[in-house]
Amino acid sequence: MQCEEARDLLIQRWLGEIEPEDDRVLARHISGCTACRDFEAAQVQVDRQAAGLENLHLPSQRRAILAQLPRSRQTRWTYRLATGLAGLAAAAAVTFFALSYWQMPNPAPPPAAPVGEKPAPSRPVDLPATFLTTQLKPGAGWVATAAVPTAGGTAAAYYYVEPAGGDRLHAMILLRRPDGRLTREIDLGEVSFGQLPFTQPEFRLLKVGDVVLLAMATDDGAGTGLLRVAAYNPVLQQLLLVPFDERGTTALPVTTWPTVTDEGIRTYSGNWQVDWRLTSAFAFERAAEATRETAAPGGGLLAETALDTASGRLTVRLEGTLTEGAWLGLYDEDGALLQQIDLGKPHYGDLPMTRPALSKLQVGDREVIAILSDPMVGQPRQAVVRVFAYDPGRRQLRLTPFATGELLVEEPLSAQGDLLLAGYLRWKLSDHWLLEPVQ
Amino acid sequence: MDATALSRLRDGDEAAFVRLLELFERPISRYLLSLTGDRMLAEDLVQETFLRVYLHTKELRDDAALKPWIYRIATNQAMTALRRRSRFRWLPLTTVKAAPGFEEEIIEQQWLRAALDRLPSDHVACLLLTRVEGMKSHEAAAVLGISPEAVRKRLSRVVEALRAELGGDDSHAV
Repeated sequence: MQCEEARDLLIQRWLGEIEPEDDRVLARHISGCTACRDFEAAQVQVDRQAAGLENLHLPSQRRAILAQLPRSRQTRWTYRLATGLAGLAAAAAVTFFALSYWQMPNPAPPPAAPVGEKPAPSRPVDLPATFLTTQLKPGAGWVATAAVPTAGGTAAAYYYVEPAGGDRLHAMILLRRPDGRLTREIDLGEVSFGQLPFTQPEFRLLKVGDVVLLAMATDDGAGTGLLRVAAYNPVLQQLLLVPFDERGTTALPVTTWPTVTDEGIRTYSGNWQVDWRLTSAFAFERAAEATRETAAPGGGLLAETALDTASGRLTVRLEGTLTEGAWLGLYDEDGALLQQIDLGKPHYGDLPMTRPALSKLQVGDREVIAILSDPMVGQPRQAVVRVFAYDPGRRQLRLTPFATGELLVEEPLSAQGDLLLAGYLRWKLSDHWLLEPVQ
Repeated sequence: MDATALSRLRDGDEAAFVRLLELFERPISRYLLSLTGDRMLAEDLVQETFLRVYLHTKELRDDAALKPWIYRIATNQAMTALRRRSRFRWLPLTTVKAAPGFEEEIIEQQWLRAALDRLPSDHVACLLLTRVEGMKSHEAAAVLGISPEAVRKRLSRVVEALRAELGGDDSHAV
């Protein structure tokens, strides 16, 4: 028997499809062939590692899928009512937390509390013996930070230096489950480390009732940090990022660690401070907002345009106030709000593009909405571009990311044929809702 | 799903579709996440896959072919998406030393992800369909539109490639 034939039989055996006689012939060959024994050993190794893939899972997309079904094919309202009530019951079952404690394993001085602010209660959380190391060592491959207990197991933040010996870091959160399984829960993507605040990723603990949440801050590359908070979802049995608003924002720009209030946390970003109330294990609700800046520029409607769609003529408004930040509203012909997209807290200033600006462009056969805003105090001549195209299937504006990530521009946008002209590159709007560079 | 449920599904019965989601959403999610290695993309693909399933159930002639049909739609969606976007890839873990316990397990999982990213997607699909989703070669063949022999050949190449990457080295250098 030739090795090539033996390999085919090994694959058949692997799949449980081998005939008994072939199995006997194969066994004889393997006993005298080192290469085929190695092949067989590799099968075992692959199976052992592929077993980890069986534990992968995503949050259920059922609600989103059902919401997109064509109306004509949907069934009776009674069924939808029943499934809706079931969903509400499930949501009610998991809404049980009230924020009580905020604890940091390696506390940094918090910002000075505004006059009149009530000191927050705090309680230490014991770090387990599995606290590994806090020193990042570029080139050392995997580097672990604190391993922290959660209701679903022990979470650990890991960094991976890319390339080996290089200066690019990727960070992720892994969860060692009580049954011993190890799952990759949250990928923070590329992060950086350096001397400025949050240029080295930091992880702290947020104690909510009996549940420990994991708070993370990483550098967004613009002089601020991005705050993320993760909670173990007992229904999905997964460590998930806690959204900060109904739009699902899970990364919040911050310039320092949050402080604690009676109901939740207070985040700081530049001149802004926002109070967040943790209403459940899975969502923050904006409780109150204020500014520490007294000279407030004006707000309200910044720009407006119309979109002709199959659903009718829709209105897009760019609105903003000092205290609310900026947001994009999509309205139907009757003025009803269909969608609101939070644009965060763009910088307001007097230089070009320091106020958020809206453009409507015809790119090929699509009309797209482009937003320019400057989130970077101190670099007022550059703006971040975000492009939204109307998705008739979802009947919403949908962010179309640039394939190379966030795009900074110094020039106004324009369109030419099928191309969007932004920055120094021409971009093509792909069918997959992505702006791809065109050489 | 039985023939009655499939018949109702073809008639656009949402309850039948919900039942189908109960049966297939989790394995399809796992498959697409493994195949793409990208959570956000996989979530989008899960939605697109089941929307297509809902819209095209009338085209399904053989009730017994429901499972491979759904996997075929998912695979096609994933392959198209992967072709269109530039993928994030892990670079070789040339300096990672095997460590006992927790860290070793992490390294192995990342090694497999990195190794899968370097293989052709249709080969990875073969591995996932047979070794994770538990399909026989003829079932995987039906999903991928190839012969069972071609499935086995691709699996053989996958094992060879992974064996070469393992290389008997403790460091799992790839």
